Amino acid sequence: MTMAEFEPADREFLTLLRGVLEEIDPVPGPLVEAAQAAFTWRTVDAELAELTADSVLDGAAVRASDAPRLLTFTAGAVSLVVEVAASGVGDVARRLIGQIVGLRPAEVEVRHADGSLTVPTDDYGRFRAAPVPAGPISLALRFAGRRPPLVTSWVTV
Amino acid sequence: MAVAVERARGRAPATDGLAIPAWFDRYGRGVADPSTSDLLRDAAGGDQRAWDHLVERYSRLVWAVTRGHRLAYADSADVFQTTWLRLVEHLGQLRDPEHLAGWLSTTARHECLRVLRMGRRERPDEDVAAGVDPQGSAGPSPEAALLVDEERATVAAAFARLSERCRALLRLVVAEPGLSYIEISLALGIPVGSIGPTRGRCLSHLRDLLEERG
Repeated sequence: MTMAEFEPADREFLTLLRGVLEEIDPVPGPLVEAAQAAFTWRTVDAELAELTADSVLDGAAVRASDAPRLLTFTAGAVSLVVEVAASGVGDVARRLIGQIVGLRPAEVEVRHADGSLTVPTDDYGRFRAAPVPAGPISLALRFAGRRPPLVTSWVTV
Repeated sequence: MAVAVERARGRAPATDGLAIPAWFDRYGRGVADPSTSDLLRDAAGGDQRAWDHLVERYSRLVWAVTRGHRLAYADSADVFQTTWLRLVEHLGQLRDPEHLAGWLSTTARHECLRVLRMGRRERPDEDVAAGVDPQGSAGPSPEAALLVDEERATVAAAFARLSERCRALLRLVVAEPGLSYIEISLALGIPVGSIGPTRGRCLSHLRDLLEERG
């Protein structure tokens, strides 16, 4: 669908509507600035682990809101499973418990809207991070030696 | 030939602190209306200005998708930010400008669904209907009254009376007229076959509402 496909009268009308929507429901300026600032999270040499499963999308549409959510990220033979649960009172923070299979990172950095939090992993590749502010997060796995970090796709928690 | 020269310029070694992105030259300094293709390439190469342009160009689209779902303001803001962060990570893989609008709207839609199913709070209906900016003070502010132009105020009031689906669809159409039916379907969860008829019905309903008032 392109504008050219519309009747001239519709096109004019839609242009008017566009102007109206810009006034009554503009993209909030602070959000645009935050999105522009998001570029600083860019990682140049990191390998990307895609989000390959999310229990809230894969499971039944209606589920208990207090059941923990499971996210799975995958990059080649490496997979990372993260359980997301509420942390503390209210709906503002999360507790992450995760396990990395296939590689043993030295540490895990949880990147979030307000900064980041770095936690160690145990002998089984498990880690725990809390509190993590609710909102977008991405995990960066850092390794000893020369292996480049592995970062996960961002996701809202 | 010219393209090759520009590409060569755009890919000047990173050690050259004065490297100028291809689009900056092509459109003249300071008068930048670069192609999405150039912006994607330069942003993937680390150019913050190219990224800023991309965000400006497509933020209306991403916002339209999030506003098309019943999310509280804070959740819309999270979805908006996650969508852009996701693009930051995927810049290297997404070089085809034709796919960017569809990629952004699909990504935003998926994030909306995640957030909705996480059991976060839904946005109250009145909020949606009135088009109230939840950032503003509590209570429905007469947004329409702020519009100087009376015709625009009338359109705003009529738009607020449309069904949620109509508002979502029209918001998306005006934000990004180039989206295909399939892309719209993926962005809003409306069956492909019903997009054309729905769009027509929404537009004529909006016209009817305007005539009632006029």
